[in-house]
Amino acid sequence: MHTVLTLLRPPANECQFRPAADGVRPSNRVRFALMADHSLLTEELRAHIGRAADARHATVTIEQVHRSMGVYGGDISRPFADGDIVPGYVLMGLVSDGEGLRVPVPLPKSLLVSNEFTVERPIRLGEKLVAQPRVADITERLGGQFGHGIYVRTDMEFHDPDGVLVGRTSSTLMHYDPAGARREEAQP
Amino acid sequence: MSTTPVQEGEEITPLEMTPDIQHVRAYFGDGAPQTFFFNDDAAKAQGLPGRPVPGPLKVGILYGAVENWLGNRGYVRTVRAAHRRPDVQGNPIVVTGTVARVFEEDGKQRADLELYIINKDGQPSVRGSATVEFWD
Repeated sequence: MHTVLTLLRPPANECQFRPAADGVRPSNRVRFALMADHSLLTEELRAHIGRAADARHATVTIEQVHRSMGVYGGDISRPFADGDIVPGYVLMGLVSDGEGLRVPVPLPKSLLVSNEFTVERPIRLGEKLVAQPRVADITERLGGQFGHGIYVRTDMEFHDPDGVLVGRTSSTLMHYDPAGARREEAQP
Repeated sequence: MSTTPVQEGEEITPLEMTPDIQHVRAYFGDGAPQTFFFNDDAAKAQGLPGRPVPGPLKVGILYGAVENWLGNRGYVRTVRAAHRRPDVQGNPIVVTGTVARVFEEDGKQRADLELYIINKDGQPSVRGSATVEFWD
């Protein structure tokens, strides 16, 4: 008699298995279970969640507005005065993204899988902001086209001098081993 | 309540462009990392067909297309992007988008947009969305 194993959602640092109850042939399930027989999302790695780098002070300058408009397709001849609303994408280049937040993931390759930008209100020329980068989350996926993947989401929050949240940028990197990937797509 | 100046199903003006190495240099600015973004051999060693367009640059282009479409009618509150496949420098891309939903929230008129960057083969390299808020 075969022992049939079914992979369940992994908890923080290990996979769980239970006997299959539906009589499905065991071969594929056992093979998958053996491929993903341990989690890489250790407590040591999870300890990085919430870790923050030093806050940085930045001012929305006309040079940064013009530079970002030139790169992202805005009209750089448009005049701005202090206090005018500027395109929100200026936040993207205000400080380096995720600097000082390297997470030691034990997988050799990484891909950018997603970005998100949110502003709570319009951004104005000349305003001073405080940027705070931090590791927002680390999750794991077993299986899928890239095999075993560790996802690291890094956030950068921007506050005004009174501490009020103005905006947030977020990016998620997937770390993976190409040996376990079925095909390579997505984004460097 | 003011009338929202867009209709569901309205398309944003498609933006055609060809990001090249000058564009990528402008994105990185001073201190650009000497990585596969600037070196064909390094890109091919990573299994890529050529020097890729950085993902955050593509998101900024998506963001810029929404800003340009919106003009002075309001501001962009949120842009989200999921990267599906790399784009190679020198290959054309098209940014497209459609107003998916117009709604009122917190007393403000807002709209959700569905966004895409389409590569030269007609496939989406980025799937995205945005929420914009209109001035009263």
